[in-house]
Amino acid sequence: MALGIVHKASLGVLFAGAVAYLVTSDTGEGVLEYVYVDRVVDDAQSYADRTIKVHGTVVPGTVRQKRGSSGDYAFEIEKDGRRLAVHYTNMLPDTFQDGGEVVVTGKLVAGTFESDEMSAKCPSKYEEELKVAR
Amino acid sequence: MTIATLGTLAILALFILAVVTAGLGVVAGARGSERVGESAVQGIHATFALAVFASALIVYAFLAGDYGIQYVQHTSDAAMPLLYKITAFWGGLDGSLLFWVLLLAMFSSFAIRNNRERHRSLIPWTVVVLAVIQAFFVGLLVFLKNPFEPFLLDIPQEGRGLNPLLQNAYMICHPPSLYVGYVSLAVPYAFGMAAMITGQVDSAWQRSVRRWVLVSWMFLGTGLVLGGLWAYEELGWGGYWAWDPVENAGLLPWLTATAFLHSVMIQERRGMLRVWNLVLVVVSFLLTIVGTFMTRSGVVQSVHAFGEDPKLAWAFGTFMAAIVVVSFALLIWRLPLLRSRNELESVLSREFAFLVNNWLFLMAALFVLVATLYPTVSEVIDPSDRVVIGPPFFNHYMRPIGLALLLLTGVGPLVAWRKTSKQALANQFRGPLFAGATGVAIPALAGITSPWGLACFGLCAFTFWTIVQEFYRGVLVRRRQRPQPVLDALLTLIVRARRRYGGYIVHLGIVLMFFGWAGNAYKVERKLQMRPGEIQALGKYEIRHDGLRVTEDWQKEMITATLSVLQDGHEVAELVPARWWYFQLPEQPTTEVSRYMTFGEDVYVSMQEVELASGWTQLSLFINPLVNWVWAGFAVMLMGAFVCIGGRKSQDVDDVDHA
Repeated sequence: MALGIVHKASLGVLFAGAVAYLVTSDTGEGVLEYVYVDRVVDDAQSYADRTIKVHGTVVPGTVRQKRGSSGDYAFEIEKDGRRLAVHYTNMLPDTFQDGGEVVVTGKLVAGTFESDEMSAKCPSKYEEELKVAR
Repeated sequence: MTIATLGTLAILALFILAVVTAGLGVVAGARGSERVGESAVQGIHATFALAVFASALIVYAFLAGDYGIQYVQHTSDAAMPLLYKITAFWGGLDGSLLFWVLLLAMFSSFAIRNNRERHRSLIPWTVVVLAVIQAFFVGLLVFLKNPFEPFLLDIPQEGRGLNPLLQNAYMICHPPSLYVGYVSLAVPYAFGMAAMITGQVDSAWQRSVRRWVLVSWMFLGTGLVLGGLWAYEELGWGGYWAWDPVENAGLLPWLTATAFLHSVMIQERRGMLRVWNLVLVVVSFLLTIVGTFMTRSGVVQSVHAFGEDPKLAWAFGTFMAAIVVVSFALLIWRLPLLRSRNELESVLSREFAFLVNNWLFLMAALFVLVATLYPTVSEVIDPSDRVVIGPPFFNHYMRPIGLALLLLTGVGPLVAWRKTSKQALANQFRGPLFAGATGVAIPALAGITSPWGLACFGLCAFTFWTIVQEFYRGVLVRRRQRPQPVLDALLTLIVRARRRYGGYIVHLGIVLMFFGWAGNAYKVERKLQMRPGEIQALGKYEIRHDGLRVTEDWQKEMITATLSVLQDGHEVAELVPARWWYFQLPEQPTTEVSRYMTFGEDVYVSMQEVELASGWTQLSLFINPLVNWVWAGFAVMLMGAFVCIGGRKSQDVDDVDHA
């Protein structure tokens, strides 16, 4: 004796319901748009006030730290000459370097990118481009 | 002759040998010639010998500091400790491909040797499949990524060294463990394909691969957990799993292999799901290739890796497409032979529980695969439209799937094969349901409000109780048959039905791991900046900064902070987070985590920044509740898997089902 049609139908409904619930309750948190600095600067309007990830190179010499507070930095990132001011309020990752590439996550608020999450271009776990120091 | 030349010749010979072996296998399989078949088998063993030789050469080059070889120069230097020089073998792309070749040659040789007598007719085609896979990987070495590639001009005097982040004990074990898991899944695939080619699709091929899959599964799991431990101890962000593409690549075949280990039982007992099992073997193998491609080519981190190495991408793409086409064509061709012998009779049957378990594992794998690849694929289609998919997205979907699987872990053993009677149902579920309710009530009373956390605790208690109940009842039966001490009864119970009770021990480990994950529901995270002498609160503890010290060894300069963990004014532990500056790479200091481990939680601290002049120290502090249960649970899982494997061959034909 195989499973009856009622059983099959109710299983289908149960499954579809579960998937539908999961999809509708998905807030979209965790899925972020990823753009380069030049696009954000050129099209600031459309990127303003929503959480995005921005990729750029830290402009050497622009890194300032607010003393006496826990992780509060200001610096600029650029691509193809377009610059964006970043206000970063968190610990810097180990791989952060003045002049290095970073990806900051946050919102563009009144012309400044407010971020509290950053990944700095990290040597891939296996294949690194190491500069020979010394 | 230099090592570079000798090595290059060795892999060239390896390539020719693999191709010839595959050819011999085809002839042997098609004509049924024993003598040609014998040569093909010898070819597999010779491949192994040659792969060992090539690997020994590259290891020798590392030990001798032969910086005339590009790969050696890129991944090692003279100052590295001996062990890291050896493990630098698989530290980069070219070498890890050679390592892959070595493992595949080794597994092929063992698998063929062990199964030659029992599954004689499958062997020629198994040889063909293994040799073709081998030829592909050796081909990559020969044509694209020769690890013996020498510098033609300007031979450097010094090596560039291995990234300090990788100079860590976990990194010695983690990649090989994942690799062993990956590569060993080629063997079940080869047997499955041989079964389809010869038309001998009965259970014979599965008996020879079930253990293989279990071993692959153990190694994959070990690799994943070691990777997690590495991230936890080395990276300093307080967690161990971030749905990183590299991690996901290891998880994917683990999920499908887990599904296979369950569904193969239904085939053995009820003759169902025969097509499905072949599909799982094919998909698991395919996912190991996808995973290797994803992690080794860097495609997932950035599409630009395509541009940097389009040949490698094309080679892998073609190979994967060929696997899909050939495997599924064979499967469709053999469908008439693969009809199920039985049908599902009831939703309250173990078959059904296993079936749902399989769907969920496959859904999980599919979801992780799509979510991992989506950003890459969308970027290829439209470069301006790039997204990043982070942990919250994965967690949203994977948490319910995981909890549903945990529920099934409990339910599966409670329901009988074919159909469960109402009476049996009540008898089986009463205890576990009560335990589950208690498991929700206790943390809820303790003030935990997260619904996911409570659900997880409840399901852990439920499933835990089902396992205890199974052991308890088994012991009871044994003692009724023959009076004996409880421990004796328990041990004989396990030994008499290893697969069954080993499986329960694996489940127990899973429960403990989920228990550990449930702790995330009340994790504490604080970022602090302190000067020596200051005290700050962290959850139920206080943290006191006791000062900084600077030390140096031959590789690096170290700044270490000393912190006291106080509870109710008493010092319970001392933490010593540090930052290390390797002389080789001073612009990238590493974060050395320190933690205070208890059964209940970890107090975890990493030092983000430090200024010696003022003593000003930036710290990331975490209280990670129950985290150590994750590691302990995994150890239990491994123990259970050993119990499953340990049985004698004659025994595992069918374990008696006492229920």
